[in-house]
Amino acid sequence: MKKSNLKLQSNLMVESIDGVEVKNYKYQIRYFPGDFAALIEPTRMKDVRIREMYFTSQQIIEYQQTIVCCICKKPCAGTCQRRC
Amino acid sequence: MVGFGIDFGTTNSVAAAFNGREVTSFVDDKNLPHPSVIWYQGDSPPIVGRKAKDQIRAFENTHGNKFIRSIKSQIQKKEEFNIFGKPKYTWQVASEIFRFLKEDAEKRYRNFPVIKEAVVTVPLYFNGRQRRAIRTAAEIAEITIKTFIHEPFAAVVGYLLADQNRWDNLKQRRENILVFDWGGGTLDITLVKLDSGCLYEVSTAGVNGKSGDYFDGILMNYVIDKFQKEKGINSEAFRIELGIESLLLNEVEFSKIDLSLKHNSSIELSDFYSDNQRSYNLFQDINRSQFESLIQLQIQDAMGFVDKILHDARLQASQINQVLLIGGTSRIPLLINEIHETFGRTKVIELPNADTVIAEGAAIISYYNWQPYLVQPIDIQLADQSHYTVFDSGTILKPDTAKKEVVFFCTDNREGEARLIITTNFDNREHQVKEIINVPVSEVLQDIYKERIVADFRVDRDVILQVRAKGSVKDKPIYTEIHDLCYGLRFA
Repeated sequence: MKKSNLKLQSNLMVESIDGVEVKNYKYQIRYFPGDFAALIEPTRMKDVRIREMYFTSQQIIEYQQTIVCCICKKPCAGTCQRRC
Repeated sequence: MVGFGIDFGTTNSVAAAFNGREVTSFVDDKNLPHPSVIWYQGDSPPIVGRKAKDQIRAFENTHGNKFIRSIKSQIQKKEEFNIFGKPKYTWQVASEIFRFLKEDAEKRYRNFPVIKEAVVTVPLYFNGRQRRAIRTAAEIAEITIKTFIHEPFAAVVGYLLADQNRWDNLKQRRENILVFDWGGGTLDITLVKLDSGCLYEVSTAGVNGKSGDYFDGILMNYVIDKFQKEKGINSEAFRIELGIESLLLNEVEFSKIDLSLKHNSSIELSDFYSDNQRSYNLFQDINRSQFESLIQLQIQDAMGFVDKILHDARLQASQINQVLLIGGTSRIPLLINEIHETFGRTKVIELPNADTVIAEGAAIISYYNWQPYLVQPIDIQLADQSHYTVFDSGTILKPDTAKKEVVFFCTDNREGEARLIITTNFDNREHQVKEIINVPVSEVLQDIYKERIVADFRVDRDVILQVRAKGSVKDKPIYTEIHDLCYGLRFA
């Protein structure tokens, strides 16, 4: 058994088993990490109204954490506590 | 119909048959299992078993003779043996033992059909490579291995099912059985759980060496020391002929066995030693307490392993329902007393067929065609932190049932690889990673919608999980094998 302190994350979801499709496989986009989803579907992610239809709240949070703050110039996710 | 079982042991091997009513072990002329010793002499076919063992000391250092012992413990090695200039792989050497067991049964137990297929037992710690090598060895001897079963499970089956009366309520019984297997070469202690017709391992411990053969050596040195002191012979100048040493080792072994039954034993050898034209006979009385004082430390160590097993399983000695003592070394009274003290006299079962019970259990398993089953499920970690179970616990591990093709989609291709993380868990504890397979995928971001990973999971005849996984980038799938599946036996 391989042992490692590094916590690796899977990047796979099941689509079908022995040729039988599993439920929800069509919502592939909802399993992308938020920052990656923004790269793949930038227009959908940037539009506040549309993104809530397509993405999960977790993805939106992940995306927001990548946005560079206009004040501190870092992806601070609002933690710099300054206001634009 | 007859079911055959083979206990391919480090020190001794034996086959057994079960015809639905009674079990028969194919032991040698002395009613003992066959020593796992192979004696090559030039181009002639090798001699296997007791005949070979009896001649080790006499011919081991003589040109034109080569003895191979404990081949089982070397079975996974890739190096070849050099047998008089001819290279032989370990499994080719091991095949001689299977061939011998088959031919000996054919010659001396004529009421039974020829052994063409059998259930073969393996230690718990044997991995898939070792099982595969044993299968190759058996196939060279034209024996097909129906399945591999762990030795302690076969022992429990051999004990529980040999007697028709013990079959009652077996499906309902829940017991903790400690299998204490101390043979010539190894000590293996396993806590086996019997639960609703299934057997599985809870914890295990043991050690190689420090067993029956080692005790023979200790006793032989003691006898020689005592002889030198009695006769006033200088130990530095003391040399005995190899043939005599071989005879002494035999005598010592029988004396050791004798001391498990009686309080005293004696060793006699005429013309044991000659010095300056003077010949000495060996005559020594040995009593049980002398022998026990020589091996006291090893017995304490063995009891330490018992404590460890109970500690690992978080059980008290009172929670153990039965203790099975198997293997010749577990007949030593000092050990039996210690086990009685720990578990209580009534729970300890001293099997009269301790040398053959494993093969007998395997024969019963073969007759009923019982199969190994998966104890710990095989899961795949998914991107949303959940797990998909490829094979659930309880899956029968046969090639035609334990197979599945799963198609995955990728949720992030920025690193150019998909991570297939194979895990297992026991009793719903934390998942443990067994293997990570990195499958190359396209790094073009928009290809994410097209990218699919096709993974094929199947368990082969040697209880090895084979995984093939393929993405869109390479034509050839990534292949890996998992050799340490945790499996039990379902028998009711």
